[in-house]
Amino acid sequence: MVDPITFEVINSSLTAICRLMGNALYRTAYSTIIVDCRDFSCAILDREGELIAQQEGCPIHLGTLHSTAQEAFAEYGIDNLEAGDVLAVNDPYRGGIHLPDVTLFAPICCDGEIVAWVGNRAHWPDVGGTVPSSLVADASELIHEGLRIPPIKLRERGQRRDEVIRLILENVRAPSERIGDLNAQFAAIDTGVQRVTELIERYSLETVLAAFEESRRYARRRAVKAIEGIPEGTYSYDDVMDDVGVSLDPVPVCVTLTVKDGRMHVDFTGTGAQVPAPLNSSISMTRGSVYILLKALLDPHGPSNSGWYDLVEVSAPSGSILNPDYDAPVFGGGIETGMRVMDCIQGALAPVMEASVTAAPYGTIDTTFLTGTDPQSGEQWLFNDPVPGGYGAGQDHDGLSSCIGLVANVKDVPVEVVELRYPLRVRRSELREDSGGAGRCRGGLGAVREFEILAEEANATIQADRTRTAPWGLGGGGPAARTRYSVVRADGVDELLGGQRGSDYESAKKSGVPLSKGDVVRIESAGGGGFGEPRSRAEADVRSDLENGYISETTAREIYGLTSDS
Amino acid sequence: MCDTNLTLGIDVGGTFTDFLLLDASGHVKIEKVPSSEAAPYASISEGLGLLQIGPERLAQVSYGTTIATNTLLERSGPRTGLITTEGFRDVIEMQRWHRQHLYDLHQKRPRTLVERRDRLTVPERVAADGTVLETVDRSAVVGVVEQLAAQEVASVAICLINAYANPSNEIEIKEMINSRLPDLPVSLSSDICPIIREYERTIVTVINAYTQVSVRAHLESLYDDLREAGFAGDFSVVQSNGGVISVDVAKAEPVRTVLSGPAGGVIGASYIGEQIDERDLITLDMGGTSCDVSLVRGGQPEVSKEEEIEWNVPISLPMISVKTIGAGGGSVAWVDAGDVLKVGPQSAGSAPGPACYGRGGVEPTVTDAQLLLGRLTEAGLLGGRLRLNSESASRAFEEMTARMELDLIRLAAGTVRIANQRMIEAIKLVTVDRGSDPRDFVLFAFGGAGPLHACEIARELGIGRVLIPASPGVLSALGLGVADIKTNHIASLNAGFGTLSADLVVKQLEELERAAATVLERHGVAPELRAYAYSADVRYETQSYELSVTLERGLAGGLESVAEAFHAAHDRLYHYAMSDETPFLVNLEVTGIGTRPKPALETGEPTLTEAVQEGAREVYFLEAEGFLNTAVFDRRALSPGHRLQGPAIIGHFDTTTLVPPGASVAVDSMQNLTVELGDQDG
Repeated sequence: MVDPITFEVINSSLTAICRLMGNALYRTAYSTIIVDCRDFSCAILDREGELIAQQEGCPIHLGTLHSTAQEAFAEYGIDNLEAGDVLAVNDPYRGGIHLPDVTLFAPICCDGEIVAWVGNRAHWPDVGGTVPSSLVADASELIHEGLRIPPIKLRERGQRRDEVIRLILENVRAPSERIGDLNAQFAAIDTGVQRVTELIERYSLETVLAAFEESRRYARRRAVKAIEGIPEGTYSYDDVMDDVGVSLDPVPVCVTLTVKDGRMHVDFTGTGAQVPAPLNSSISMTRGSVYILLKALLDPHGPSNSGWYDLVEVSAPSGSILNPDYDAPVFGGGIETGMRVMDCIQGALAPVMEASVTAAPYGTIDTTFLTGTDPQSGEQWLFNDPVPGGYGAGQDHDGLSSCIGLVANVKDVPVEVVELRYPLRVRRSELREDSGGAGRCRGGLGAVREFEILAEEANATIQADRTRTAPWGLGGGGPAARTRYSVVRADGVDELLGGQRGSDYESAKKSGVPLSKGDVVRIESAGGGGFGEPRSRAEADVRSDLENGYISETTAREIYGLTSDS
Repeated sequence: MCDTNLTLGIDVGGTFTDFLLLDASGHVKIEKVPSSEAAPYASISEGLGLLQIGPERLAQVSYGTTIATNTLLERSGPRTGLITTEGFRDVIEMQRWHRQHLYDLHQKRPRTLVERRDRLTVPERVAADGTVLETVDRSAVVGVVEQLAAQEVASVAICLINAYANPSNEIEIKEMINSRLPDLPVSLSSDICPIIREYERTIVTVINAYTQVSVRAHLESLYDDLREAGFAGDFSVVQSNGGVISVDVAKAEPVRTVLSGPAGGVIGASYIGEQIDERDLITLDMGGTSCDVSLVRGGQPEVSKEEEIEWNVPISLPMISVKTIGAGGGSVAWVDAGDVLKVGPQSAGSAPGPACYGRGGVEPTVTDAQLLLGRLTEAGLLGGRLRLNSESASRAFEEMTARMELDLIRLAAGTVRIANQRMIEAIKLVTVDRGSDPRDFVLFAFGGAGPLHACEIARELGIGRVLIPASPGVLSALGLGVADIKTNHIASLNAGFGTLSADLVVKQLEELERAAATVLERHGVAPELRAYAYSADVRYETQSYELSVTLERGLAGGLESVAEAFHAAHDRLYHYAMSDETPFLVNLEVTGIGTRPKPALETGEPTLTEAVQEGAREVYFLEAEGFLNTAVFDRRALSPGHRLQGPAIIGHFDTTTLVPPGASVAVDSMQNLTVELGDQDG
């Protein structure tokens, strides 16, 4: 038993330690996706691999680090691990997300016994596979997506296992950059081990472990209270993935959510079958997506640990896109299909949690890779641009404009860094007028990004959704503008790459689209849905939106009913 | 005629304006008057009256103001325009895409400083290597200027893509604005902060434009009034980097003062530390609503270019690195939805203030807890002007005792422990996180609440010594009075060590030094009082974050020694170095320092008497987990040479020092208190 005061003292140390691990990681890593985008997370786990604390990293990692840890420890055998070891794993079918998320764990030991773990997960820009970036639009099995790392030691009793590391590096692209990322992950591990060990020395093992336990109970108490606030009942919602790239057929995503006796059951019966494309979400990832959205609705500012997950049961038909059989490709399972899982839960709970939900957000991450090979050095370059979009409006506020999707919390790669590091010129990065769903509260705006290719040759690999269906509004609010990709060729021809233009429709899930010097790739990201009847929006707000160019004159007049003289 | 070396430090705070007058013999006189925002000179004139000194006698006035800070935080600046490269109108609104709160679907971003309608674009383009790809479309600029005029914008910022690599297009636009609208202040990103990363550069430039009008008006009116009253000395303004600048520079680049609030205290601390031979300090400035922590190493305050004034509002200029947290005497204790006790960041502030102030506050605060623990008494502070009420303090905590199943005293002790813990985390961030061991430092505590918490915090961190200055309440004003003139000059090189020659680097440094010398010249600093510090921001090429490495003049030791120093620093911070990689040099920086005369503080002869105890009372100590009979001393009755043992309480005019059991206190010749924490069980 730990007294409440000591608990709060240790608890705040744990979060601080996670932050310190994160600092070591992003400040020394090499990939822009880690350094600038911050696509990584650092955490402390208890002996059993339950999540105790995490820094403000990526939500998608939060919901799955514990499942990765538990499967890895069980498989490797906790008795085969000791102080100074570092275990690596990236397998989505061992509790993870997708292959690029290389995850390290290291034990904290006391008198020769493992008492806790520190871990981190970082998205490598490439882990092999058939195309640079490992995003393979026509992948039909996991192995197409790159190197699969089972739980394996990269360090043993303090000694790096260089031959294993070499084996990994020689199977991924741009290995000289990857080693910098791996070193940064080791730096974060070392920071964490040192600080947690000091914490135990300061407060005693017994007290720290008691605080771990209390931290999970604490998160659980808060969740119990929040669930009590939802009326018992069964709620459902159906949404859709617009296409899967290799086929233009949509895939239904359906949720039935039951709240009863202080627990929730989230069932995805009715959801479409798994697909031969990188959109399958492993069951651990599906659970992770559910946890993210429920945390946002139930306890957004509470502690980040797994103490409340047992209150929520998640089920999905085996062989479906949300619980695929082994070896289905998964790259976008979390970041694309997972976004739709979250939309479904908001849609289902909207009737009983009006103040907590929002209209649909842009609902995709618009993963965009521009890649090529430097003709002089022969080195490959990989630029990754996740694109921000609009958030859905709430019942009393407009949606955030141009913000990254809830699954992640990545930052942009600054335009000036892009131009310094890659043979690209950014022509435009601005808000997309009229892209927010109309409403009493307006949905957030999407973005327009344009990249000119300066290299002789390059390739584009993209994965995006909400190209056919629009992010929906609530309570009479309108839908947002949809995602669209295009490329203006050097000779002026404007080619649709993904999305709807007139009666033309193209999937925005493509790998290795050839590009040449002077081509300009344009991404128009979706906005968020509106909330409430547009005609009830305050006139001053409509005018201000018009003056600032968030909406066009036509929209102001025809949708909001603004008259020119008033 | 002004007395030589009669210096006045004026620190304008939200509630009080502090004055500290320092003469050549190191004699110090202090005063405190209520601040008046509407008539800044009124409170200064009042302070001068109390000090019994006419403005004509002052050789130097150093002024610390938070006017730029407040204009920014309150969003009270005028309508401001922003000109960007065509295609990049929304950099300032799209920010860096991420969210402050990971899971909050209803969060808002801080209000933008420039509305979208006032963000105008111009066709032009510079490449990453500085090549002008597209010259400025002058006819478009003409239209933009007319629009700025029509929209009655009061100030304008220009931030073009890649302008850090070549300022020519920004300059051309500025000249066109100047000739059409000569009175419109224009801030250029290539002037203010020529660093890579467009969002960071834009925000600094816009803050400059946004705060310029109010800062200019404030300083002009104040300076005019002072001159009119006969002042003929130098007037300077403190910047966030811990140095002072002339009024003219402050008016042109007010963003340099935006985070200057905590700077004065840190300079004051390093100045006192220097005189008593303590050059490695952790400063802890705890007031009513917040606590500022920073580091002084080898007598120099630590400087960083990554401080944020609000979430995601970074000021990428060199400034004293201060970690501010919402833990002060007024911080509120509360129980969250999971039944866990929290302290802050909400604060009862000065109005209504802690419950025990009896001014209508009902929420329990850290100060209320300190009162219940016997560390403060009902006799209160400020010589009894502020009395405290224990009953109100108990009542404020009462509801929580039932919910937490803790008695009043344990709850109060818990409140203090949690507040301490937050400060401990802040100290770790500025020390451990930057590769320093807090045990190698002295904890220098000041502000209204610092001395009350410092010893218990020091013990938790294993710090052996705590210093409390003679006047903990006005340390900032002292710092202002002794601050040097400081000017930073940066050049971006963005090149690997392999492609650089030492000669080229030396040449660049000399050029920066010349620029710094020009500024010092303008400030009238005699050549023998000028000093320069050289540094480089270095990283491994593919990284994005640099470490600052100190350089020697003329680069003695060559680039190799710079590389070595970098590898060593990387290893110290991150537990590894890649010695076989050639480092990459991002920026060179030269700081020009105009040393100002700093008198040694007046010293007193050690007394041969014993310190006289004023009384004794029961005081709660965290480590004893209970009340101990504790000796009480009055600060005014302590003289140089006095020594006393903990447990003890020392009552000052505006603060209280808590001395735990086993610790001993000595009063030095400059009236500072040194607490040796000694053995915890001793």
